[in-house]
Amino acid sequence: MSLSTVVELNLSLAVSVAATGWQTALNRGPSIKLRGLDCLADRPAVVSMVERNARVKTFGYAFPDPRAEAKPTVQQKGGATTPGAAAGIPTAPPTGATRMRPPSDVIKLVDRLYYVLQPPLETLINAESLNCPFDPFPYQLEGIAFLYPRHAAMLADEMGLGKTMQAITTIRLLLCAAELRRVLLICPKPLVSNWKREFGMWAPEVPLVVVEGDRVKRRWQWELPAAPVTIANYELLMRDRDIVCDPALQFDLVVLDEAQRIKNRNSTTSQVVREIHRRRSWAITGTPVENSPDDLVGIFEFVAPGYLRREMQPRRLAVAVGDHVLRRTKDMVLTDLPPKLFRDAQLNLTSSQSESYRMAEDAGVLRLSDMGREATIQHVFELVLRLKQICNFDPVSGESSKLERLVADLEEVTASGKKAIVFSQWVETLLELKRRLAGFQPLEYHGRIPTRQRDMVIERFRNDPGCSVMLMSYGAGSVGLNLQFASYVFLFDRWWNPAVEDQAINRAHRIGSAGPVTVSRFLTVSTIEERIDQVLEQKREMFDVIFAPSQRAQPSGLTQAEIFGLFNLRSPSGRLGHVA
Amino acid sequence: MSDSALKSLSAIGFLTVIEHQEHGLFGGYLVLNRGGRPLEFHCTAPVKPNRAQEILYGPTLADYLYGEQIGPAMVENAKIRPEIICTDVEPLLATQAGKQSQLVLIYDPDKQDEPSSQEDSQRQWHRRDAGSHSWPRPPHTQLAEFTLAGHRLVVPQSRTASVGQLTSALAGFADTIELSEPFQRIRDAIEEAQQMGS
Repeated sequence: MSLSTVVELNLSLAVSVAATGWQTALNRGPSIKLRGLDCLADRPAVVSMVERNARVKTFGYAFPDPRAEAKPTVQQKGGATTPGAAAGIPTAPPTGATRMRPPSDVIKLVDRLYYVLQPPLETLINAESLNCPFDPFPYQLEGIAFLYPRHAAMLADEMGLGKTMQAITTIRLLLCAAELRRVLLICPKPLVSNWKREFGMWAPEVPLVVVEGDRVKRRWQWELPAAPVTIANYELLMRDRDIVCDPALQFDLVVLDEAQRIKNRNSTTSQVVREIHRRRSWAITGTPVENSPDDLVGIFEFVAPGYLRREMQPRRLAVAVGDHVLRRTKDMVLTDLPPKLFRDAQLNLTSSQSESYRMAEDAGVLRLSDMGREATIQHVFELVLRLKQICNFDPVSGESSKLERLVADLEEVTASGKKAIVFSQWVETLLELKRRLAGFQPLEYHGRIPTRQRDMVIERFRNDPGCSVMLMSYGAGSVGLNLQFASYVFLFDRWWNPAVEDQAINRAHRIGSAGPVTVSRFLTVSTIEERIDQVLEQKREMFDVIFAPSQRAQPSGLTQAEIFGLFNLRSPSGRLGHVA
Repeated sequence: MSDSALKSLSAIGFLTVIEHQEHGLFGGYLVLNRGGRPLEFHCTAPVKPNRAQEILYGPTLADYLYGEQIGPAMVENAKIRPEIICTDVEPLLATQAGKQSQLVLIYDPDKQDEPSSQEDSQRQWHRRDAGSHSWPRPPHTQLAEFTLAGHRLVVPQSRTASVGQLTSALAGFADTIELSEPFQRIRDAIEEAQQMGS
């Protein structure tokens, strides 16, 4: 209310006048007093909240665009030069999500993020138009995701799971990403043609150089700068040591197939491969440990020099290699693979075989006993080989209980239109089998068959319905060959190391097998073969300790002491080398 | 953004935000080439609104934090300016990404109710998918919607090129990569960076 406002009040008072002496006062108006009331308070306090637009802190990382990198040497199939060209790109994105993870030895955040941010492999394969002849199995994609980011890796899948395909596809992806420009693949000589064939199937656009021919030609091949992938065999590596170990020759990646070849770090092969100048080192093997954990240490001298030590206990080894080794077995990943049926044949020697065997054993053991401390591993070994050969064929009469059984089985195999592979460790045994099995028209694949003829032998075995039987040596045929069209495998005699036997069996029992593979292992009872088998069975635990306990054990070979023990003899100098 | 720019897409951006129970919001921005390979990645330090911001911004807090703070900080720092930036968080649509970039919201209805891998592992990370905000949002009334490769896509109508142009431009990418997949890469990368930093 304003202070200047005047309010008029109508005071209607009833007044009567009485005659008194002071009536004059009645004619005066009433006296009204005004008192002001201050309504104003103090100015209210104000609290201001200023909203500062503080800049959000960010971190940025840039990655090279592989499409901007020149890739003149990698031509796309069909003449297209740009991966991801319209032709061949499917109209729907892939649905799988196999992601790669950074290895533990990648330290820098930007490098780790590079791998974390890569698309799923299904997307990569689709985007790069990498037309694969078959869709990779999920576990194979996991294998590729394992290899891709690793500079030191060992792919140790069981035989038959497609290690070759996983390595080739990873190389292909890394070439497309311009992360690799020069790759050296080293394999045993008999497997060179197999790798060429597999590259033709899984990476047809990648040019290959196979090192072969005379020294002048080989030098030229080694030094070809534009070759993305060079394939060489171990034997040539020795001869070309001065070229391949020249610091001027740099490889982005060196892949060792059948890497157990360098398990002995003192071997010349191991020394040469370790001298090759390289950024990445991958080892591929189905038998990372054949005899002892030292095998693994030896291979790692190439994969990650100095990372493992010989004195490390198996459990510590297992932890150390955990991020560098990937091993899967068929039981783990191929639930749909046809079964592998073992049908062990425990056979009695024929009477003449038995007589020859006893005579040889008695004479041999007597000789070793007489030699005393002069007896060496070679002397025992000779006796073992002699007895094993008698288990195959009697040297006097030529009788063979194994052959009798084999003939009966092969008649059944051929009658059903199936194919069979017969393995032996001796070429002489294979030649004898060829003579005695002439009715089956068997093919041969062993060390005396020239390398240039071996591919033709395989092709004929694959395609000729009249060729049902292949006689094969463990040495020549146990690794790298794809013989999944064979339904039967016969191990006419047993190898020292069941890991090698497994490799032989898995030539037939692998991806692509149309049906079950039946494996017949011939073992003559109460002989050296049975004793060796018992010793090897006792050694299956070591592999379990290093790798997954759920996996089937990979037994090792025999030590010197164990070989002496076959005849109840004591090794003169304790634990020595292994026989594999 | 011109028609020719859309037709010749060479890169595409993916923008998202995830929330850490303890640290707050982390933004992530990934630029991919046509093959889905990473070209650039940006992420933010954790952002946590204070009480005053919660009161003052009220229902517009999400738009403010995502669209004015986190989103622009990353997009502006990127060297590559893709023509299309996809997000799976609706308030990021308010990001001022410049005239040449079109923001597209990708709904992935099949996965909205699924916990992310981060939630599975630690229960500390939470996806901020479209429709999963803890703050009230003002309704977007001017949105255009279309479908591509099984995804429901939404763009602000006021800024949009024609839906037809966007569809044809995105179709090339959608043939190669699953459109909601890169967001998982961003979440994994943020978690990796956070682990390395902690």
